[in-house]
Amino acid sequence: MLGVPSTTGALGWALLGLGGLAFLVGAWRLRLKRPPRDATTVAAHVCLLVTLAAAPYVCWRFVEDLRVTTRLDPYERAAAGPIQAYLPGYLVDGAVAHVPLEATVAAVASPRVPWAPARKAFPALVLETLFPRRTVAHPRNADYIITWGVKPQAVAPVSRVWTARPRVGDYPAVYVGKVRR
Amino acid sequence: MTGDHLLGLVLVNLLFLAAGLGVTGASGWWRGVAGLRGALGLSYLAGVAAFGITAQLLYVCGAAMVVWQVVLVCAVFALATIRALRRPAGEMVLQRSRQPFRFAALGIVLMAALIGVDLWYQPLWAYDSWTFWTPKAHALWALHGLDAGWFTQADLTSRDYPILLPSVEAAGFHVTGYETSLLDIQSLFFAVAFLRAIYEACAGRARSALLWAPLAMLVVAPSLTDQLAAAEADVPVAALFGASGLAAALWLRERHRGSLCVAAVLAAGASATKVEGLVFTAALFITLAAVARAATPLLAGVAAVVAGVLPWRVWLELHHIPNQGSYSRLGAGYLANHVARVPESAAYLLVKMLDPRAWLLLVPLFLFVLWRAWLERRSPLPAFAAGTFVLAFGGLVLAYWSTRLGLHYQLTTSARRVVTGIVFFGAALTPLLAEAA
Repeated sequence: MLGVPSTTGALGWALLGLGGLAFLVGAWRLRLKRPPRDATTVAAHVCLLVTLAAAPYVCWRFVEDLRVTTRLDPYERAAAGPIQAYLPGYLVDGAVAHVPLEATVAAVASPRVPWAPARKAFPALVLETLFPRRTVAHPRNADYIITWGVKPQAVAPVSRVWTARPRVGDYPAVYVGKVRR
Repeated sequence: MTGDHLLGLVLVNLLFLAAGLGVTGASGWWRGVAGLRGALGLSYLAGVAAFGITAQLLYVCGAAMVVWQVVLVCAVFALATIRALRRPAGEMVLQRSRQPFRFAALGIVLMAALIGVDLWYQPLWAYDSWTFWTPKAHALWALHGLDAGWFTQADLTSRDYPILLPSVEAAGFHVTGYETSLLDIQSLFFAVAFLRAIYEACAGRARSALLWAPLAMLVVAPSLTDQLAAAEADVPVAALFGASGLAAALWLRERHRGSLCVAAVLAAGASATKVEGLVFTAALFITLAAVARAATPLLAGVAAVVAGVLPWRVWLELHHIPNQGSYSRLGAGYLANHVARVPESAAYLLVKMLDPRAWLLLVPLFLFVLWRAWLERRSPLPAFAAGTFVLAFGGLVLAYWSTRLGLHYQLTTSARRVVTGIVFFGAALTPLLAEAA
């Protein structure tokens, strides 16, 4: 879940404690009321009580998640996947106008891009943004190359270069290069 | 995302349900109107499986699977419903649970509703879902079929993964338009149908506490919600495999041929969803054949694998796409050099299955009930459950043992998800095992 905190926190622990208390009360009531005889039924009752005890904590997780997901703006909602990989969803939008629909592309992220998940996910963002254009493995075999943090001419011989997105803060520039045939 | 989108998704899933009612009706799983009401969960899963493997085959053959083709495929399967409705009620009809615990049922419904609300606001964020599961569905929908150029391109991750789930999602896109926020709700349909399938199959056959405990733990388990929110294929493959195990267990108990047919259809669906679905299917039918000392389950298993996997494997071969699930990775030298991975992978997977923060006490309850049933030796069910559990677990360990990628990366990114199939299988069999204990 997108909005659940990585640590349980004081409230989470308090709810787990409350659940534990509910477990003890439930177990005591069950013992007084009509204790089941066979071991498998006892085990099932214990599991039901554990589930009941976990319920407040699980509900708290929903609340924490909804606090985040209900406040997402349309851009964050549409680009949540790339954002999780430290990629702005619009990073390669500027390349779309330069690459014909039937062309093939190769995506290259410089090793100098400081975030490994972003480097790894960059080709997937290119694939998604430039849909239905197809990607090829080797830049020299592509019609166009989309580079991030490296000039296209350093990757393959190109006849023309565009800047799809200039450098902004820590994010290096994205370029489009037309591969020379 | 609007209410219209949700309505469209519901309509598509009603088509799958209709198809599934035809499949289960033809197999004799249910008869008459009362039987139909008692077979909705399992029928939905059978419908998705039947539609998915047919759609995969038709995509491989060049079909576009536009709206009328989706409706036609489901309608053809649904035809058998009419005949099943006219027949008098049979032995497979739902039997209502005789004992209380209705508060558990209410709690389960409320929790499922809460999950639905959470998923309504959930964007598409998990890595696998936005990098290849959803793009594949998008391509099937937007490019009108299995465009070889797009599906073989270099930067498409997991090109070899089968396409049941993308086919199902693409069918939804044909009605709702390209709306990715609905995909986690599509996964919720799988989970709810699986819960309902356990209830339907076990309500009249198992004690209330042993029925409601796994159902309640499943719906409250944090890992289920986490995976539904990720909108990946792990919950669908687990639901199909778990339901297949349930149908196979009923066949072992009651030897109704229809149960074996339904188990095979569901297993074919699991095999066409993810690579580990094939491992689970093999584990299930090999164990079933060994325990029943009959060849019929093996034939059913082979049919499931052929239907679920063969068309896609042929397509991969024709387009020279390397297959991660290939037997070539099981080189003796490589395995010998990496034998230290076995205990590490096994321990890691066990921890993930037993972690109460993920699955509460689902697996410990299953193992306890299995142990008690094993001691009684009254039924072949414990041997079937134990054999399938061990073989399926062994298959996962083998996958990590033979991986060419970094073991720790693989374990940390996937182990918590791939155990879901085994957890679901255990949850489905717990009520029936308890009756043998």
